[in-house]
Amino acid sequence: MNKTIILDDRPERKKSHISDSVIKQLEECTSLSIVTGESINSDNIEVSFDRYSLLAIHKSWLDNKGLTNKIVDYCKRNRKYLIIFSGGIGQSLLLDNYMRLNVNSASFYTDRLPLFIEKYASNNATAPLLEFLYGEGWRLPILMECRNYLWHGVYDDKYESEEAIINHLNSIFHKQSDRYSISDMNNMIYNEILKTKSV
Amino acid sequence: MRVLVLHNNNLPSFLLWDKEEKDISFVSKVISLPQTDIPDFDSFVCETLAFLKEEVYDAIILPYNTTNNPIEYTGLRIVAHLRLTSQWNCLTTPILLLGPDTSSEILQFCEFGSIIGSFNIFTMTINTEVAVVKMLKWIESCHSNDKTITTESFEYQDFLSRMKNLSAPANYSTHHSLANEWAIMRWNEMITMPVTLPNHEFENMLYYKYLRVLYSFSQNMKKWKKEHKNIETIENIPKGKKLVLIDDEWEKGWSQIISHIAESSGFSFTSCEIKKEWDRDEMINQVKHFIDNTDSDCYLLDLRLHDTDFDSDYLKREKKKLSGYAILDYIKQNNIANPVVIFSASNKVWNFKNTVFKEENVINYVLKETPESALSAEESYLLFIDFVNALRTCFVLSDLKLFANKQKELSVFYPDIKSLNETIHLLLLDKNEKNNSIYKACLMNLMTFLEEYIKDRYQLQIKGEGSTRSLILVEKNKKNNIVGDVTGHVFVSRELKSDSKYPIITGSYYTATSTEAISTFSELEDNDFGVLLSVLYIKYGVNPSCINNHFIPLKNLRNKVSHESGKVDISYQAFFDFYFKIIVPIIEQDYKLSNQ
Repeated sequence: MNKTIILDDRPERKKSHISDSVIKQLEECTSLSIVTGESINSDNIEVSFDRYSLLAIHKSWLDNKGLTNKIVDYCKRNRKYLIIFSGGIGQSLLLDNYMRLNVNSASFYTDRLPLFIEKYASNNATAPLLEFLYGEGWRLPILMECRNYLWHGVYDDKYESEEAIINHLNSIFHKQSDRYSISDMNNMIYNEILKTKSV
Repeated sequence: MRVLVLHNNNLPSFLLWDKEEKDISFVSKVISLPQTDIPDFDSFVCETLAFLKEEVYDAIILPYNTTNNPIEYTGLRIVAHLRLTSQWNCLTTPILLLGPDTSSEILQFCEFGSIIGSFNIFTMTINTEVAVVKMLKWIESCHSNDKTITTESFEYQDFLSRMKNLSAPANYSTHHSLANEWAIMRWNEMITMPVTLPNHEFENMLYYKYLRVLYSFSQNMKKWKKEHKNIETIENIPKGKKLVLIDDEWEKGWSQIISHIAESSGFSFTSCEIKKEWDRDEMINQVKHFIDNTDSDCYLLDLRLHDTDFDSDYLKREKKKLSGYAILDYIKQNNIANPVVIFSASNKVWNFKNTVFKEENVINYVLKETPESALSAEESYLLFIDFVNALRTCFVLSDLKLFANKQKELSVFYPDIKSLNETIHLLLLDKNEKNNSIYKACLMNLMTFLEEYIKDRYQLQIKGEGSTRSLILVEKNKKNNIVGDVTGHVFVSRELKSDSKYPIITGSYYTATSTEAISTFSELEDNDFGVLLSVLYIKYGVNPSCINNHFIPLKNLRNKVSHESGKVDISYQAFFDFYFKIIVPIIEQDYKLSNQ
């Protein structure tokens, strides 16, 4: 089971965004630990976080403890998903190949958070942070990114060639195509948009 | 034509390097987020594009997105920054957005996606060099950077209207900070010599930039400043006054601005240096400690001093009130006359106008304007004038602290004197507006106290007849009760003014050896005025000029206004002098406090 930890140094904060019933649902998630960070040993974060594969941490705790880079590095090294949330974040950013998300508190504490945590626990999420943000339309950013590569034709470590993109798309959509045109991509994006609940 | 190309290696390769092509000079800049830390995109953009303050381009090319996730549309966010940051000289520069994205995608996923339809913003899905160069040539010929367009032009206002869906910060705390920084910025813009403010986190925020342009002071700021010169210099501030600021946002700029105003106006200023890392109880204790050790003639007090004040559930559950109210209580417990002005960005202060603020004798409240209040320069100025007026009132009324302290001291020995606290409350309530009813109530409170105090203890007695007739001042309920012979010492003069039924009385004291002619004065009679004068002169030895200046005018006024309506035309200082120069010496003599 994939375990999640939410570390918010001010537990009251979530009440501005979600109702008591959603908070109760969160508290009932067996795969979720909700902590304020008081018991976390800054010198040995592994002890506190090793058993979780998704860490959601409020930015103020990281700032106050001076642990931002340490936690970001730790998550990168150990292939853990990291969500950093704060009221001061104006622009959501997906980083580190969709492994890290910076998001506003209002976009983090939403009614669908308990459902997401349950789904993540059941190992059914292919790209958890994309699913967290876009629900059923989680393939949309991947499609748009691939289309961009095909459009500008500049390849890098992520997609070394057009073939890499085709393979990636085939694997996600369970297809056997040997070519994707911009027009094909536009149609696929359009269909994916219809599945997207909200962004 | 000089063209700036901003990208994250996600444009066709011919645009990724500096080059010259058909009289077009392409300057390439990579916009790539740092790998560590928590990048705030807006701050990152501001840091990365700071070079635009020094460089000018004829056009800018960029993709719709500069990060991994195309749906973030960070390229459009950069466009919004370019248009909203006046220092970058890009308010009208033609911008060409390149990418395969369709209009419907942009409009669906970017809350301000419609800016692609605003002036001098062009889009292209074709990715060939020929097409891009052709497009740039067309832009150069038809849509060159039009310097006549200002932020007030239709074209720019149309762009602003397309930004209207830009999300505001999500939580109250952030909004509170934003409002504070907004008000700080407005105050600083109004003063003649703006101070250097600390770097504000929010100055980089796109939302803040948008509001700043949307609600900016008019272009006529210079003209406005000519009409409102040196507003930071507040004239006629009494000497030696001290202002104290209690505000958790003190270091965001309030301290610097108010310090500048204090220096220009001649009063001293101190900030209570509240630290954000303090928990609620520690913060309240630290502020109380500060108050105990800092004298002030005006406390400028914010109501939300701690993050928990933004959490209504916490306040309800813990049965706490806003931390600012706890501090207000403490200030007033220390001295009921401590002048307090509430300094808040919360509209909720209006709710307390007629309740808490009245109970606590708050002098006034000054609203820190919020962006959404969309005030004009003149309206912002009126809020500043509220601050100036509140300050003046506090500095005048701060002497009441001495009154309150003396009351506290005397009431230990003579508890009945507490009835005079009413005057303190009334004068605080009056806020130096000289309300006739309030002044009348103060006059009655003070004079009635003195009259009752004296008449309960002393009386005049006539002894003898004819040539042996004399008027003696005696103490009631005592055996050897003669205080002194009034005959030949205390005289009165009565002058009936045409506009009043009641005579203006003047009293004088003469020593037994005085040879001065007493033409208009007559011997004192056994009446109310006579008792009071005799007691003051003979029993307490109050200086005659002190009686003439500080007792007799008030007594005359009291007689007049208690029987007929009329203006209580005296100064606030007259009450103060009456208390300290007439009442206090009497109580101190009787209770021998002056010798203790």
